[in-house]
Amino acid sequence: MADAQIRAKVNQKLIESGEYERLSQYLRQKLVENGWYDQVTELASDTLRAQESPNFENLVDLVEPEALALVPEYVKVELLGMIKRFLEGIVDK
Amino acid sequence: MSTVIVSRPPPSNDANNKRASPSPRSSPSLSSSNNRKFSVSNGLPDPSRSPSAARKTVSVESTSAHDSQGSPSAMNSNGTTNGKNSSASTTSDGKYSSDSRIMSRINVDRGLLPQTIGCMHVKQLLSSPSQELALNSYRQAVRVALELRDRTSDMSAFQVRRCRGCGELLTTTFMCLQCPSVGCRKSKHAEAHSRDVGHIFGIDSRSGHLYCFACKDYVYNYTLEKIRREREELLEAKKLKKRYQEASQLSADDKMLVEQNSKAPPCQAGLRGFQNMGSTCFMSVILQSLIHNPIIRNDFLSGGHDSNQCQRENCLGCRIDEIFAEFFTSPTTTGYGPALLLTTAWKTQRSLAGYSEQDAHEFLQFILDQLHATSDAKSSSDVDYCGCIVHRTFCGQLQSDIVCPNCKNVTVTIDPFMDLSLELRDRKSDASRILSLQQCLEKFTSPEKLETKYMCSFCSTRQEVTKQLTVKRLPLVLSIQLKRFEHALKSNKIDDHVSFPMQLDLTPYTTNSRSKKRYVYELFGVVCHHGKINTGHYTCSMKNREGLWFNFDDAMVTLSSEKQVLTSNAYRYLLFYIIKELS
Repeated sequence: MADAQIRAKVNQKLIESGEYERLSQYLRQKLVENGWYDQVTELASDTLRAQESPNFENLVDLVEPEALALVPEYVKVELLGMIKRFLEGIVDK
Repeated sequence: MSTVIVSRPPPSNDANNKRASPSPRSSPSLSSSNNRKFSVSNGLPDPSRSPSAARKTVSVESTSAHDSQGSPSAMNSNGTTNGKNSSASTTSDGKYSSDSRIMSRINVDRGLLPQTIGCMHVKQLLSSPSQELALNSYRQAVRVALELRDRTSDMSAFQVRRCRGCGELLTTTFMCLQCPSVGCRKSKHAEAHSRDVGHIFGIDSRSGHLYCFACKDYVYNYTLEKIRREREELLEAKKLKKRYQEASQLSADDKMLVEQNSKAPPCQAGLRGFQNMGSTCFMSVILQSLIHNPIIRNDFLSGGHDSNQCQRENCLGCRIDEIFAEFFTSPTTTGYGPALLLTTAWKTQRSLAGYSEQDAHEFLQFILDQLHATSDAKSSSDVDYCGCIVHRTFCGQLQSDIVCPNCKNVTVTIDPFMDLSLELRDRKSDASRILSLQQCLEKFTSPEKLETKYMCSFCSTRQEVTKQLTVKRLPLVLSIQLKRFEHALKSNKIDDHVSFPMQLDLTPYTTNSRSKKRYVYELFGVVCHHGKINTGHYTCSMKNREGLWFNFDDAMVTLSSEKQVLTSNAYRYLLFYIIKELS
């Protein structure tokens, strides 16, 4: 229960400080810059084309794991670092 | 929320229609329009229905309003190719917002025809008696989704979108079309709701796109998409308007500040005479020639020499900059007395001091030299490649070819020049034969046998060599001096009238005179001398930005005309031509 409370508090801080938005934008930018966006788009299109009765759920099931794997390591590291720094900033409050 | 019954679809074997097939509890007698309940798939009345007129209010205090969650991966609601045909969002990245591009690619690849776009469930819904209600519900839901999406730091916005099953705030959720339920995608809470209750339509809580749980796909419908687009465009327009307003919103204090410290430029900016402060007309005419020189004018007016920043003492660049500022911002039209410029000039060159009339051409050379010296942009190397505005404007190159008649060897020399001084008469004869500027230029660039013999380094003989001058590189502005003042036995002024054109093709006088490219120049200024050599008076005619000609006689400025300039009786002394593209 305490866990859920902490989670809620963190989310609140994250959103209200604008950090969530900043992180989202930053991640989006990095993924575009890196070409990940284009890669996944192409992957999704190819997957769709290959399906006989295509739908979103199937598409997600097929594409999501690979898309996640395609995210470059440095982006993950960077984002995690930013999140960590944020958390360090709000702990003890 | 009230519900409406839709006429049930005929039983079919289509896998997608599984939910639509009659279930034990379905009642074949569900009527349509009277009962304001609607459910598509299995016709079950929704037990969890709670009538709430304000179901999908935008205000977030209402807890019955739908909650949903933003998606953690930025891509999800905005960028993915949503199933068959829902487009990528038009908002975030312009690059990825082309509906038709993605759509046509998918459809063409799958050979789909337009009529098979969208799912039959939506079609049925919208052709049923409940369509109005469905459309209204959709409209409300879209409004909630899109308006909340912009509130990125508002906790309550996230609360509205949160999953009612797990409470997650930061994940994709669907708002049920038919009831207040909101469920997430990841933990399949929305899916569970659709299965348990039979509400197969969900609305993406961030993008507003419709999801059909029966088809397990985002689905496209023309009418619904139109509604969604309209709301999106409305919000974009509001945002844009807000941005404009914020940008142009000046506080009352700011407005006052702007008004108090601005000066409206006078109509005929730059048009003003100079007061004669004791035979200073030779200065006035040269200053006017600079003021009306488009390149010099543009450079000074755009801050080429910032008199506020310049640290030099007795800086003529600053004086000229001040004059430009004064002429182009002051509403006064009376003559300007260049006292400060005079004192600066006198301090720089003693010979200018005193009240005797000086030569305008000499003053031109002096001032150009000073503007170069006080320029921050000058280069220390050759002047022909100096970066200061004066050299960039006026400096050209003359090529001199000396031919030895004996061995035909040609010695080529290239020298920079700031203006061309043209003889009016043959040195030998006194007769005035030259009548046009073109003839003067021709004379200037034709081969001439030199009187004194030179030692040819090639064939080592003394010869009467031939020298020819041609213009190797034309400057942007060509200044021409017509040599009216002979300083032979007695100083003599040559009164010959020289005709000149408004437009002058200088190509024949260049080194590569056979070039196909034409170098055409246009006249913009004329300096005239009246009276005797030592006691004379200078006036000038200049063309302004709009192409109007004006006569300047000290402080008196009068409107002239091209015709007047070309046909007047005054004796032209200096001519200023600028390359046509810049005139």
